[in-house]
Amino acid sequence: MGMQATVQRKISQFVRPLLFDDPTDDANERGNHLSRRDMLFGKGLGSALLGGAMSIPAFAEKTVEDEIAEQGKDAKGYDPLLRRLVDRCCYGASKQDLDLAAEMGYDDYLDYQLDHTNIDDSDLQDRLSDFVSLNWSAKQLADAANEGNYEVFYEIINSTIMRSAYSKRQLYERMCEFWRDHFNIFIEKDYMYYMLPTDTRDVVRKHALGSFPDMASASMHSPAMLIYLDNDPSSKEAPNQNYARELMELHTLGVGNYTQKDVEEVARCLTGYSFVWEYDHPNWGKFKFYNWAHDKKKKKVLGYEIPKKGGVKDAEIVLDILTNSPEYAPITGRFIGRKMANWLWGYNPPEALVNSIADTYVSSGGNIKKMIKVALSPEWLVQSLPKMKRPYHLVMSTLRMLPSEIIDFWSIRYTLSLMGHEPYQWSPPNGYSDQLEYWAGGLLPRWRYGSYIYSQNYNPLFDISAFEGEMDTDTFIKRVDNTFFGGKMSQADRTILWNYADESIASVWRRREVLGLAVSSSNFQWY
Amino acid sequence: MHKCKQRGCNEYNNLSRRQFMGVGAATAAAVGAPLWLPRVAFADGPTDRDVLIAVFLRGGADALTMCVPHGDNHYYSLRPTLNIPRPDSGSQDACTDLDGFFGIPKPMKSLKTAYNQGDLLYVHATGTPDESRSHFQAEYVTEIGKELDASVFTGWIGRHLTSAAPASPTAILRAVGINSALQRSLVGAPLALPIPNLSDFGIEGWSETVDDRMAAIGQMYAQGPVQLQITAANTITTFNTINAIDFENYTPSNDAVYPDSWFAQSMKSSAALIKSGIGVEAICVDIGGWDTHADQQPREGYMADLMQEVADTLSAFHADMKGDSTKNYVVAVMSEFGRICFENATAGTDHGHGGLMMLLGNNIDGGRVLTDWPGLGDDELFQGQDLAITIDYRDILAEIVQYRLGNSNLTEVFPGYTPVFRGVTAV
Repeated sequence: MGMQATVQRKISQFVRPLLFDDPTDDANERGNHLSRRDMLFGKGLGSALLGGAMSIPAFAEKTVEDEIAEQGKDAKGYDPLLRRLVDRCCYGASKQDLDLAAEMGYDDYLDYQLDHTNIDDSDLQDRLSDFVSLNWSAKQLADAANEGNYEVFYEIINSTIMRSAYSKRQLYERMCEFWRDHFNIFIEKDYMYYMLPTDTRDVVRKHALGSFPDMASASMHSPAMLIYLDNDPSSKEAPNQNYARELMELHTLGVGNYTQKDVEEVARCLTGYSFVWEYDHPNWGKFKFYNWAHDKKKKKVLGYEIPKKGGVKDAEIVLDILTNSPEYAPITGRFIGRKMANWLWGYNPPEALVNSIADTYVSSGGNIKKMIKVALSPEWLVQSLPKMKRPYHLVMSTLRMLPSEIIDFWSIRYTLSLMGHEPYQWSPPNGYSDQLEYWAGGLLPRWRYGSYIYSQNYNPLFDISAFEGEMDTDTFIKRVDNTFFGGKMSQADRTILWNYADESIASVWRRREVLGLAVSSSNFQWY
Repeated sequence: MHKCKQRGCNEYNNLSRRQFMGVGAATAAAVGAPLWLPRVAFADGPTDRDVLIAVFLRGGADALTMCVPHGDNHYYSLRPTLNIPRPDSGSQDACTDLDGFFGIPKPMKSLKTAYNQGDLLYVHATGTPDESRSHFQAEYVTEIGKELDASVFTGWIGRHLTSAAPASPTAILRAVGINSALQRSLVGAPLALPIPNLSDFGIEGWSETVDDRMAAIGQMYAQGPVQLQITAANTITTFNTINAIDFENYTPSNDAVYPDSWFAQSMKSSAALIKSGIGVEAICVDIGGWDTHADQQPREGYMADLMQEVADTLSAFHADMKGDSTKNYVVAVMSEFGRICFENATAGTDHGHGGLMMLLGNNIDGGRVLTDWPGLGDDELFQGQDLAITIDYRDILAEIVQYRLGNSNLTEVFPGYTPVFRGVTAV
């Protein structure tokens, strides 16, 4: 598996996107870079190869500001900035999402999404009622496995898909995905089918819009994380460094902000952090600290003395240093802030935005909602550029934009795996990449996904009745535009799809194929 | 709403899988050619350049287990339980001696054939100067071919391909990353695509309309966001060519048997791709799972199985490629770092420094272990805990780039570094 793109203070400066991204954070240089790139790689090279027309300026190059300057409200009467906000909050902005946001206005819509517990989600709750194991303990899941019931193991993945596709708490679900990558755990490792549901529930979902220090602490006490990163058997004789390192490198500070000695000392602090091992114990799989395995001597972490005989408190003090201390909270704030800005705002966020989120982290003690409000503030978002949907986002946006019912989850997981983006299947601890360069190379699997839309072998049943029956090509294409592009389809796409739909051999099938082509199109890959 | 289901959609149901997968071009084989080869004849061009297959062991492979320094006494005190016994120990897990000092562990024994034939070279105590012990930073540095530098984002293979004329002037695909995304090493390469599975590069739906659909997609991407234009064009021009090769029915030469694993099948497909002569010059293949912090099991079990998978695959690839003497190749196996020489209390090893490279190829001066062995004594270990690096990995790769890949623009490929050639290629 390839791996990439930890976004952190040091790394973000050198992980430079392929041909595309802006290597500077200076907005003034962006224009220069684009034109340089255009000269180097030849704007319209694709066209030349394919015999198409010269390429027209594509929306992925325009900030919201540019759009507003050009056209004010868009063709459908939506404010482009509001549309961007909805795009950033949701897995695909459906007409209902846009209308709701338009009714509320920018600030209220953002507050509405952030106040997620007050959004009525009863429709999702009904859909989730079949998932019996979501509140089970690891022990209950293991017992089920012993009884030969393996169905429940897919509930963690399937419920994730279900929630992304059908929850009204869209921003919350998008942030759950963000933290799922940040605190990545690979489901194929030992015990994870029993442990990961607990982690998802008690770490990621519990704190996704809460406090970062609380979430990091929950993660540090999560058997799934401790097992995934090999801390569970670690003991004072020669501590295992895996989790200790990633706690600093990937979860809080970022690489370069600690020494190897710090890793060794943190590993000592973490000795004894494990889980209840005895399988017959009713608490099997729950967090347990083993004092006998713990290194009781004093330690020194990042310049701080950790007194001897601190027991379970040692690692908690370490976490406090990492997330709350005057020296290290700003570093963690920047690290998290840059990642969050990359997720919510766009690729290569400006330093000033990152600093602003980091300042908010420090002043609020790691309040995630407040950090999001900065990242999604209109002043910043108006300068943002579109992002490429990761495959999971692509699939979820299709499910949300075409009315759909998921009949079985297998085909969804299968297409996600073809695209290299099945939830919980990333084995290294850095999580799936959130960089354009990573995802931009693999297009064929996305086109295959598009082709599934009209194939009966694919089982989320899409309701495509609105596209069937007698209608002229104009009407048909208009529906495609409204459904997939919110009425903003490019003239080029319109012409190409119109011609495809209007071939003399036009048939139900030919038109269905147009739906697949719309999902495969370049413009549908962005948000 | 579920009309399709109810009507039965016979139009689709009656298609065979291959038709359904929608390979547009005809795939009939030419008379006389092996059946798996495409009908189309490709201009291979006169070249004796090697095709490069870069195999990356992701996670930091434990060099002391894969090429055992049984002649260094410190090894056995550093690894009281996780060692591979000496060749003369009488242990059933004893390593096979290579040169009186190093040995290969039993799970990798199949490589002895290639070694004895002079096609396999081990390079020990090598690696990148990066000291972060971070997987992600060390991989990044290894793959860009330069010390940590904010301004470099292209890979060393990518820049090699940019600065070398195509081996085949008509090639439509010069590099493949066998992965969902392009490996960093390949970033920046012209005509490069990530292809997770070469034998599954089709598109679903009705085969009759595949060409039309691909054309429509191509037109939309040509006029869509500029960031995806080149990749889309490459994908479309490559589509029929890749599909014309019947990877599933490819028969390896010399009765070579590849293991039944993802990595092995990727290497097998790579052999087929090289032999098909479509002009691919570089292939990146990854195999993960080397981050053995706990329960490493070097003799039997976890890491032993992983090593055997690699060894048996490379051995099969070696035998397979022997069957076509016109195809020059070099497999370069590397990892982001080796592991700490001390074992930890959880029967594993943590992130270290110096590591191992393996070179397999018909132009490699193999059958030996190339090293400037730094020793494993207390005062010899890097930062008191790791195998030191005495050969920069770029010394090895640069020599291959210059002598076997026909590119002397080494300042382009490995900027800021003056490599010292170590004589790894056969003259």
